[in-house]
Amino acid sequence: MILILWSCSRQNLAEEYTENTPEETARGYLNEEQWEEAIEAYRELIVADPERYDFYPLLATCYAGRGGIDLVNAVKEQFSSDSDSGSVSLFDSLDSFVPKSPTEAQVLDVDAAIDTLEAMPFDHRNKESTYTYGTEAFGQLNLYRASYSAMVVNRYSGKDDEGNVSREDLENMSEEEVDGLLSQLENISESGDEELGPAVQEALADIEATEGETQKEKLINYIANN
Amino acid sequence: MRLWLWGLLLAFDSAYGVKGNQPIYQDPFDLAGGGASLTRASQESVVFANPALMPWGKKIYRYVGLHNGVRYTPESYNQIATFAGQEEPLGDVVDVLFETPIYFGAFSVLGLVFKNVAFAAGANQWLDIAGGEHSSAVGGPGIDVWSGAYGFGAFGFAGEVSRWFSIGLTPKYIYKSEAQLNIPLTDRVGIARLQQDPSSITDAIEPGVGTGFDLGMLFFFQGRSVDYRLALKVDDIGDTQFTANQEPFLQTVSFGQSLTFHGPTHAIHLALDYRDALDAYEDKLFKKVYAGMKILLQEHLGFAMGLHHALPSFGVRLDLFAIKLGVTQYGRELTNVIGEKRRYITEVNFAMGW
Repeated sequence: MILILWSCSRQNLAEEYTENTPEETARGYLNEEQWEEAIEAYRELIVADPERYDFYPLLATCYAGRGGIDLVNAVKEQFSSDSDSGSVSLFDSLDSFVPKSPTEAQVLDVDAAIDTLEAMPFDHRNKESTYTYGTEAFGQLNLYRASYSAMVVNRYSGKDDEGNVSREDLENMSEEEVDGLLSQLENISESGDEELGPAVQEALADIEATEGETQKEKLINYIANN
Repeated sequence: MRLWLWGLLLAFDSAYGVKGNQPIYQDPFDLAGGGASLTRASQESVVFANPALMPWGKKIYRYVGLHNGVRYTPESYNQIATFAGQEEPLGDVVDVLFETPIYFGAFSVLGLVFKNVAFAAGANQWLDIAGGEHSSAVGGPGIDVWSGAYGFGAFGFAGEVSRWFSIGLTPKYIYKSEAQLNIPLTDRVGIARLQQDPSSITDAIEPGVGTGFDLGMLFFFQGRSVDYRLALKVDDIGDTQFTANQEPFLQTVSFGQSLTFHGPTHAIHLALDYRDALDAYEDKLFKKVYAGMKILLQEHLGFAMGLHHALPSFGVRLDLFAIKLGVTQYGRELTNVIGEKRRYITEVNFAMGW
């Protein structure tokens, strides 16, 4: 009887008496997607030791998570492909993991994720990096840049009664938001990202070639036509 | 080739903590007793548990046999059955791994035990594959592949120094491959780099060989119906170094004590081990304390229960002279964080020996 009760409990008897380190605690919050607590925990870790650059991508992940980016969906989208290469462009699959109707706070969170990664020294976040997190942080940064751009568009791209993108809504984008969006795309284009780069360069070229007096007009026309 | 197949070989990290403070081979019945084996160990596993246990008892010849077993988590069995039933079993592997980890392994050990000398040779391995929505180095989706594979040959030599004290030594030759791989599923740059030059990974996971020594001591105070044992053991004296890029086994100092209440044919053994007292592996307390109880009836039937990593363990062993059967279940925390990688493992084992 004791054995049966014991085995059913499946509890660790030491749990109540075992303390985790601040690093383990932060990771626990991240794993549980308790974003507020995780952000606070990683910020404290970084303040305590600003040169622990391995914490920066983790903090960025927490900001992005709170911002509604779900990379698991990106992975599922890629692996559900029937293509022999097994690859669907991340740029093409943005819709699967970026919020469709993001709030301003969510966009700001993704912006914070980008800022966090950009605060790392370049050799810690480029595609030649030898740090264990280096190449992943590189891909992560460009993914968030692309996500930010998509989220800004999603915020203003309501559909009209016929299902078309509403130009009226897009007009509500500020010049600053347009500049920020294009700036993020240019950063991807210049980063040497072989995955996202070509698709972004093509998009930028198409935007530039679209009719319009200002960058905002060109962007709105591009979105409306696509 | 599907991208994830390349990914299976991707990021590599130090495999320092794969073995931890436990022996590379433990008898399943000892694991059922919480893994507290410094003061009592079964059959051939005495060579690794504590060679100083051997001299006690009258018989010169103790055991020769071949011991085999498989281990798995019941969830893994269901997972594999699910994969086997699919037309495209690999298609949903990532999705499924995010839900339930896979853990399985096996061992096969040949043992020969006398009063003052013993020999054990065999292989022991396990593999754990788990998907995590945030398990990569940057907190993104990833798959962890952890494994330990050991081939070994070991001699145990022991003698009674006095009426209540014995000492034993185990020279051992070990072939090992331990790995802690993390596959970051969104790191396309890293995967592409690996496709161009996979040598960095193959070098890192290349098996290594090493020779080491364990020293065991036992203070054994025998009473008419109660015995007290106190054990001291130093594993991997001076660290056991390995060839290739395999991490060394660190020297650990462990203590164990036990009380045995016994009659002519029955015994109840209560044991408590404290492993790695000098904190070589920097494990938390719950991974250092092993405690349990073994009940032996008529020398043919044994029950055991205990705490292994502060998780319940229990098992039964049936000794039918030349054939021995056993089933054990125990909990294992793979990391130093409670609940982060917890597995409830079932071991089914079978031995032929005398």
